[in-house]
Amino acid sequence: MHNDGNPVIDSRGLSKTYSKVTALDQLDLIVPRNSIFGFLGPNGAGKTTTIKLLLGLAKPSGGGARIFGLDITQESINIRKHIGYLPQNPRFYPYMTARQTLNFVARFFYSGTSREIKQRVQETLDLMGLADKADRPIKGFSGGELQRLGIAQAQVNQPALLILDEPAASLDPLGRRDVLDAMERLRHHSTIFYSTHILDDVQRISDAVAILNRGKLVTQAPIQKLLADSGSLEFDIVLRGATSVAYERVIDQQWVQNIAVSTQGEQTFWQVKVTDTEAAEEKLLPLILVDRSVVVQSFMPQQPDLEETFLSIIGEGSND
Amino acid sequence: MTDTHIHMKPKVNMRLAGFGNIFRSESRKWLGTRRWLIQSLIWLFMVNSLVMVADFWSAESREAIVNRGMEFFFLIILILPILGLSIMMQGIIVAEKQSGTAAWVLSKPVSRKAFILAKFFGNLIPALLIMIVLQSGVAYFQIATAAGGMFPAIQFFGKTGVAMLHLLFYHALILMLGTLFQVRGPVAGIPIVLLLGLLISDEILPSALIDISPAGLFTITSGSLASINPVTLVVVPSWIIVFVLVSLWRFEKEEF
Repeated sequence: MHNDGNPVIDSRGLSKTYSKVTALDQLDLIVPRNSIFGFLGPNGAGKTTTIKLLLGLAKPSGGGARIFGLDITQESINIRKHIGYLPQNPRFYPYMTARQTLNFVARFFYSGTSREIKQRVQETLDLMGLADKADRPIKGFSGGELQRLGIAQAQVNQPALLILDEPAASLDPLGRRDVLDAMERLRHHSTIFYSTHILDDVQRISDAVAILNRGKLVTQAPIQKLLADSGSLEFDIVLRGATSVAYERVIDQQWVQNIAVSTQGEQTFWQVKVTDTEAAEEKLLPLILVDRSVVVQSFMPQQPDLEETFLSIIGEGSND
Repeated sequence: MTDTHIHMKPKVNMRLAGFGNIFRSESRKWLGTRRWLIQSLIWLFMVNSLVMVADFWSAESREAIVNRGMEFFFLIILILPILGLSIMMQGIIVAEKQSGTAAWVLSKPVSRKAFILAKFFGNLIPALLIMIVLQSGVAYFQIATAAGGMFPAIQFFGKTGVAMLHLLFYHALILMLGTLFQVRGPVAGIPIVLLLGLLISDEILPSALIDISPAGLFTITSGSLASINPVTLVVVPSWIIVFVLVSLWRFEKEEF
């Protein structure tokens, strides 16, 4: 089932329409094995719809997808045997304890003895730091505890694919850190496909991302490639001397988007935003150095962060 | 990850994948907690205390005591449990759709058929045991005490079987309504309106209509088991099958 080299998720033209509203439009998505794959997009972009289609909770209006090479509409139960899923707002039976919930979930996957299942449940409770709350009814759990239980139940079957829908959205910074740590641990066993709009987290742990906007896939790529290709590299430059001539020369270049200027004492600070990284790397510094009255004290290219890249991509998509 | 590498066998694929697990969980809600005791006491109080205070105890002959006692008991047992069931079971499917627990369970290797059938049987069996069987057993001894000795049990427990069929009809109806509606109101309201409507309009509705409805089973209150029209005994189970099939069909189409 898990052939090396084959993508875990492979969707072709996957679409979903509700009445006349297109929630998902022709999604072609490839999620490589053993990756942490961030599925990004603003609210209402179609992330949760995609996850529901992959899990068989909704039926595609068009196209299709395969998970582990199995068709999501024809072989959904077989697929779900190897998946762990954390919903966006996890809801469990409130009369159950955490231990009973994990037991309940584990029994869908295993036909082993009670002792073996209990051992697996205990192991999961320990791993997620829920052992001391294991026998309390869930209805008294805090949001963070519920989220940890959500991750625990999603991985009690040691799934080959973990699908997490906004796993850290409702958590405080400590809860978020715990969730991200858990994801890092789980990557050794599972491919992790998760939706989020918290971009700091994505940049920290993801290998690859796909960006969805208004139901359409805008881009998908390994995260480093996405950042490198974003085309909005910025240079932080510290100068001394008369900079006005150099400023005119630089701003006239087609590949210069804008220059933010500030001064402090004798120093002038430039933040030069460019659209063509190669041209800037080759020409920007020589253009400044032509002017002998200017001394370059510091010249630092800044890699854009994912948030800028995301906003720029989504912004472009919105203008279509 | 502290992994002990337990070699648990994955379950094999089946059309009713997950049935056993959900069935156990549903049954345990009744029988694995104090709920069975609380419900048993409530229904003992509601049904058998009414039998206790009914005036059949003073009837002139032993046969009259038995007949009037059975008439009174079966009238109660055909009405009260249905009202209780409609209120208690209104959320059996709707609440799970609303809260998201249905979607959560169905994200596991669980077939939708298994989900519906496990909800149906997992709640049906405890409801029958607590609301009908237990109360019938107690009522039998109450009537026997009033009559001054045991009386033939076949008629009595045969009628208990009819009362179980009556409850089964409404349980299946509630299940189907749960799959058709997204809110609780109609799920609880329609069975109650149907029950009371059929009771009130018994005299004005054509007998053919009564015979194809669960109201046809009410003849056991005043007559023997043989007084039930055979058509009713065929049509009511057919309704139950139709309700369950519609539930399965509708739930297959549900999107979460």
